[in-house]
Order: sequence, then C-alpha cells, then structure tokens
Amino acid sequence: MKSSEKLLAAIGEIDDGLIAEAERYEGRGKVSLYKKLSVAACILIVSAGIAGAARLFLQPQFDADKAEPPNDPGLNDGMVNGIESTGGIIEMSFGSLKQLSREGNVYTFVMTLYEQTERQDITLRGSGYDQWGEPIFVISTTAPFAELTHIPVEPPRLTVNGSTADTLPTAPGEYTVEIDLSPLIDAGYEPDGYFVFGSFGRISR
Amino acid sequence: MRDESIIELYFARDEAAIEHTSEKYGAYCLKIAYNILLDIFDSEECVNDTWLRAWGAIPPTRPSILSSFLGRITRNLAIDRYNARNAEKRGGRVAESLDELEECIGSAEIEDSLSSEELGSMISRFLKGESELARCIFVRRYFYQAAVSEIAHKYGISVSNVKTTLHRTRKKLALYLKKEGIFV
Repeated sequence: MKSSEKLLAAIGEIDDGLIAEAERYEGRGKVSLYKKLSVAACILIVSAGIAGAARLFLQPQFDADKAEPPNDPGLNDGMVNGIESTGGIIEMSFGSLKQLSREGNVYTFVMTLYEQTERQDITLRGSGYDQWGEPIFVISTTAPFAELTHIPVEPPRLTVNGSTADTLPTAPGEYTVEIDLSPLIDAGYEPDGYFVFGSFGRISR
Repeated sequence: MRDESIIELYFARDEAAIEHTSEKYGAYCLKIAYNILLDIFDSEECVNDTWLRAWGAIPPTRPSILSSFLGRITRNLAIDRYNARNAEKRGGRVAESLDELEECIGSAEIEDSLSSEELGSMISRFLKGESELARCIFVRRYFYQAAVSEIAHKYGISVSNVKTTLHRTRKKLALYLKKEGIFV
C-alpha cells in the first residue's frame, strides 16, 4: 500500500467529533439570507435611482428604425422551450411533444420522433432539509448519472405506450408517454416548478 | 427518533433499529458513498452494507455520535469497493485525493507497523490544532470526498480559497507527521 493510500485510510479513522463538526459547520464567510436580501434591496434601490436620474438627464430619443421587434411572449414565456399547461406543444427539428393531460403528479404526452435521437431522460429536482436542518438538494431522474451536487432519490415512473419503461424511446415513431413525478414529492421534498423532458426542455409543473 | 433511542433499539436487538437508521441517515450515507463511487447502484448497496455492519457492531460498540459512526462505516466500505472496482484504472474523486496527498508527502514511506487507527489519531491531533475552517475543509475533502466546488458552496468561500487552504493544511500535516517520526 502506498503512503498516500495509508494516509487516506487513516483519515477514515479520525475522531467522530471532527467528522460531525465538518458536516455541521456553516462557514465563517457564509452570509445569511436576511443579509443577502438586505444587500439585494439596497442594490435595487441604488440602481433604480441611477436609472431614474439617467432617464431624467439624458432623455434618449426613440428611433423607430433601430427599435427591435418585441419577443413573442406566447411561445416560450420566459422558459427554454417549455410547455406551460395541457395542450401545449414543443416543436423541435427531431420531433414534437404535446401534453395531453395532467392528473395530480401524472403527466401524459404524445411524443413524436422524426429521426433516431440520443438518449432522453426525465429529470425533476427538489430540495429539503437533512436531519440537522441543513438544506439539501435532491434529484429524481431516469438518467444513470445524477448531478453530483444533488442527492439522487427514486426516479420518476415512466410508462411508454402503456408499458412500464426505464427510459424514453429513441427510435422514430409516435409514443404515448406517461410520467409520474410522485417519488420525489412523496419522499417529502419540495420540487422545482418544472421538470426536464430530455432535449425537448422544460415542462411547467 | 433521537440517536440514543435508535442505539437502544440496537442493544435490544430490535430490527426496527435498521429501519429508523435508514430513515434518518439514509440520505447522509448515500451522499458519502456517492461522492466516492459516483454510481447510484453501488452507493445504495454500500449503504445497505453499512446497516448490516452497524447491526453487527452495536452492541458491544456504543457510538458517541451515531452519524459519524455510520458515515465512517459507509466511507470505508465505499473506498474498499472503489479499490476493488478500480484495481487497474484509477479515476474519480478518490484518485484526486490520493494525488493531492501524494503530492504533499512525496516519496516518503509510512512505517508499516503503524495502524490506521494510530495514524488516524495523529491526524486528529494535528487537525485539532488547526483553525475550524481549515480542518472542516480538510475533513470534507478527504473524509467525505466532497468536490472542491461543493466545499466552496457549503462554506460560502471561493474555490481558490478552498484549494489554497487545502494545500497549506496538507503541507503542515506532512511536516507534523515528519516531526512525529512516522516516515521511514
């Protein structure tokens, strides 16, 4: 055994108190949420003041020729791709996705693939607290590797054309896909406001 | 359920002890195993092995801090599993840790007669002389096998600050161990 391996093994035998301390320690430089909000509010007030003064003194002229057309608010509504509710459709070059219904945590879609795609996964992130009241972040995903900063929990339940599946299909065709997000929610974690449907992007919850 | 009550269940040989342990410390142990193995299935098996190991050890052992006791078992089982899995090729966080530790002690050989427990006690003594921040960063990196970015996020400091602190602590540890005469 090399010295570095012996050292690493020995670190596994350090005092219980040191192990618990490192888990509980908050960090000296960590700023509380209250302080962060206070600083953010100050910045906002100062920025608003500067913007107001600039508008007052600079008086920019509106130039219709240089004005850009407004974004289409109905298409994505601030989301990358995105389906906001039942009936919503995402059209991509490789396929389309239409949300048929939502009942509780179960979402039903019709997924049409025009061509062979790479593996697609369903991912829902969430948050909660551990036994010491520390915030933790969890991930429920059909993907084999979860994000390292999130604790993996049971993946969403997937049904494709009425049969239980582990992953989404990748071959061209039309599929009815049912996604049950219950595992993360039933485990008591607070889910994000959306989940990710492979390359189709975000689906509002 | 409080840790003391869970430990009492172990002493009463009540299998509900494992259920309560899993409920309270499942996520904590899974995170430790996952940091080392980076594989959810292996990590889950490792955590299940942890419960079995705890069942075998308590009694007679009465852990002073149950979370640390379980975390230590998980960590050591996960490293054993990592070594078995990566006998030929190294990779992941454990390999990073080994490289970092190797860099600080160089080619020096640690005395064979010294047990992990004895060396662990020396490292504990050294860490207790360090600042709270430095020792917590060290433990999170080399006990919990946390990523540098994860440590920076948890402790609210920059990544470069974590790296610099780790570098300094490693150098001081190498010096301390040299003074203690553990190198051949």
